[in-house]
Amino acid sequence: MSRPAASRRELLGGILAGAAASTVRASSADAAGGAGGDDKLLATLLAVERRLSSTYHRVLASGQLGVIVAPEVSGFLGQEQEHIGALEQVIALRGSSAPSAARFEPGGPLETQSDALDLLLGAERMAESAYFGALSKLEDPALVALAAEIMASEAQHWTLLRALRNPGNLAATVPAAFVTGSP
Amino acid sequence: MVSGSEGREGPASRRSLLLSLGVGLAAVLGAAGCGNAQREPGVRLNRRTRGAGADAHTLNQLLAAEYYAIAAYTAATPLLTGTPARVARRFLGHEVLHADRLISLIQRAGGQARQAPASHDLGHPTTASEIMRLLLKAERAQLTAYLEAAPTLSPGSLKAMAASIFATQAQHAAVWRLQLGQMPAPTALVTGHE
Repeated sequence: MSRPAASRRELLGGILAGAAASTVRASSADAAGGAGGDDKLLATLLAVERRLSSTYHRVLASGQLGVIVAPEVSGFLGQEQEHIGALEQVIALRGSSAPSAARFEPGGPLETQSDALDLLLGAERMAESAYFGALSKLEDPALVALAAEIMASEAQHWTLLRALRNPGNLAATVPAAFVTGSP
Repeated sequence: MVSGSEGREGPASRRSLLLSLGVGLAAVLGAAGCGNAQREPGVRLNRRTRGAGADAHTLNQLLAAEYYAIAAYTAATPLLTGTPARVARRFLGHEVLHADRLISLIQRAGGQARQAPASHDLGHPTTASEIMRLLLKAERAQLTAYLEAAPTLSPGSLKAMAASIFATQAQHAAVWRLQLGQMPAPTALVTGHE
């Protein structure tokens, strides 16, 4: 039986939700800020990716994933790390310094493979939301393209995690025509 | 394999443009899960918005890509069975919703939405694999179109909306690759060239 959405949010400790919300706050404060606003948005997205990566590490370390699922999930973690690398690189190229990674421990018990996949589905959804919010504020076209490419990757991860969670219902792995990170 | 639709005269209403696609709107939107409220991203756009004219032109180019995808799905879906058929029906519904959204935005920007061509050359796929490859090709074409367009659009909300459709097309592509036995998400940055 799946956990209700509120419990999944508790498992994430609200951290990712806070990161997504801070994207909107930061961008609102810098609506006319141009490069400064973009830099803050990049920093927020980097924080989101690091937390997402931590969640993948937690899930993989839990030992709850089966022998077929674990390699797939490990592949997604590899791509999250590429997202981190891409964001760190663009921050450096813009002359900023990447914020140091804050310690983040995704909380809550992981008792089954379904728990583990639900945690990742929630985390990916929150990442989508953060990118979607940032995309409405980013001004540099190159950053818009990069954010779109990464958000699309997170959406693919969500779809494939959903397929692993509920095999046999492939049509339901893309439930909506517009990816926004909203449930 | 050529998609055809009936000739259409004049009216540029959203409904007439969509009906001209010959897809059977009610059934397609039902398959897309439109009984559940589809959350469409809000967009601030009207003919007075800065850059509206250029945006209308860009959105019309995206609409052309959506028309091709709709034609491909419409022709392909009856030839598929089982899981691929169910997937194709759902994805067709999504593409129709995208086209509907683009038409609405083009009109709000003061532009005129282009009409769907009378036919598209879809090649000669005969097997299920060949048909799914056609659909994957249509998705990849949309991915490259949306990624090229999104950074050029003017209001931020329009960029985000284009990116949200881009992400959905990426999901579609992943599912077709999965069905074809390919690596479903081969790259960390989705561009449509993978």
